[in-house]
Amino acid sequence: MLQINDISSGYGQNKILNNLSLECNTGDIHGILGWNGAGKTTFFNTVFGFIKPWSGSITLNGQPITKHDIAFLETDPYFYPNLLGREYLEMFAGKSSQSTAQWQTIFDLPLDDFIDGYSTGMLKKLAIAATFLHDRPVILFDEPFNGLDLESAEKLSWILEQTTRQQHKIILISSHILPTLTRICAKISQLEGGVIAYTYLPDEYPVLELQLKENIHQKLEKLMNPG
Amino acid sequence: MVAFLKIRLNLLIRALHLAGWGYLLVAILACSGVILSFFGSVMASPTPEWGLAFSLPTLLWHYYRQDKRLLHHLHLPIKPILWAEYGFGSIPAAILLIFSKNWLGLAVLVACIAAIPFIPFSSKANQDLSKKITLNWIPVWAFEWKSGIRRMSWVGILLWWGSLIGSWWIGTLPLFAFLYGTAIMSFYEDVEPKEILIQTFEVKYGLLKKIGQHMVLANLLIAPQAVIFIIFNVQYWYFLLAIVVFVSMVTCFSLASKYAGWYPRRQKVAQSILSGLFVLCTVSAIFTPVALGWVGWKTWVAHQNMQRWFPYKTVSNLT
Repeated sequence: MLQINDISSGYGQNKILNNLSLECNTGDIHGILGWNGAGKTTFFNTVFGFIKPWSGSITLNGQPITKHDIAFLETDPYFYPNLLGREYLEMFAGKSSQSTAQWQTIFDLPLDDFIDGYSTGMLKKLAIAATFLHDRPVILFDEPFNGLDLESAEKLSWILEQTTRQQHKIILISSHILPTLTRICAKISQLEGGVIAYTYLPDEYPVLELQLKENIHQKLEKLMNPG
Repeated sequence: MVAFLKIRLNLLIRALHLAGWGYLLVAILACSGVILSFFGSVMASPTPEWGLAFSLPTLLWHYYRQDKRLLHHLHLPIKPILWAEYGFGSIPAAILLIFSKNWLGLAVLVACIAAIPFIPFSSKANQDLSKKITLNWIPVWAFEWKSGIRRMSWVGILLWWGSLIGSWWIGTLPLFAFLYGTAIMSFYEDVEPKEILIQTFEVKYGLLKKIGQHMVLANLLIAPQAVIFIIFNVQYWYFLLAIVVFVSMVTCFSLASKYAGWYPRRQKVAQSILSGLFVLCTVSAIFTPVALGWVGWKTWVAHQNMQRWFPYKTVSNLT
């Protein structure tokens, strides 16, 4: 189990996360939902350790978590230049060409081409494949569906479900595509003002959708009729 | 065209200004011994090879320049611009050759400078060409070398073969080693993603292991040249020793520099003027101890910095 207890963090004097707490069970996909600027990326960076928490603790099965326990797919991953897709994946798959071939089949990637020539979607798929090949008990996905075509997004959802169940991983995922989150997540936490405002269980997902829609409509009305 | 050359000149002045005029002056004075002994060598042996050697930096600059699109976009006469730029840049070398009365060397230099603009620029087409270079023999952990060799493409391979063929001559290997060292520095300018970093720094002495592996690889790649050199110039064995030390130190320094200032999402480490100063310190015998201390300090800083971001696995968190 991944336990995040009362963490606060931010940049300089700017506090972004404010005593945030969260619990994720092994074998679960946990969704993180929030408006732009709500602190999702700060949250992921804090869990991964790129930002040192000001207070609080993060533990995995009772032990303090380290970077070696986590694979983290950032929103905008980058790669090393002048390498072939295959060479990049081999760094994680080792000599297991089977794993590399498996990912090539799933995502239909041109692994014998230079990464520099890949499209945005291909780069994302390559990064996703590397994240899984990294094989860590906790996986953080910050906006993994951005840039993916419909087929690849569908495949990723399926892979996420299979991986968490079969390999007993803990997956934390943020996305703005609510239908995808509600389909694959065991829980969805709404991040607001640096804290988890509420954690929704599957039977509450219709309420969550309604609330979000209402919220957007209210904001739009305010914008259109400021008086 | 005059306006374009003016822009180029302004860029050069700005670059020198950014580096710091005073700093540059001190660097030149500090390395004056090396520079003077180099001038001495050029004057003492007025062979045509010097013309070829002096045109090599221009050739490399031409191959890697990134402004082809800009030149086309401005509808400027590209070749005259290149001739003007390269000719201007080669004036110091030409003066040196004239002073040493090396007329054949001067002719070679002029011919090379005139021919270089006809060579195509670095582009995607060159990347396709570099894809044909078989690099399966380079292990996965040396991805910097795969990437770097591909970036150098046929220029690097031609230089390597050229140096191998000419290794019987005493000057070839030191000259090639200098270019090789510069290339090695450029190999470590890009920073790998965090996933690869974690794998490197998973063990306590991950950095030292990586430095050791890369030093061995760097020296192995010039082993054929070294063998030919020692067969023909056994009395100058200490040259070979100096080259091994130089290549090893440059590899270590470049790798350590990459990691010493790393922070999340850093993707590029420009090999600054400090790297140039390091090379000059390494090649001038009097400053070699300074270079040794510098490389040791840099490695320690890199180790500390990476342990801050990627602490190695301890026994407690392995269980």
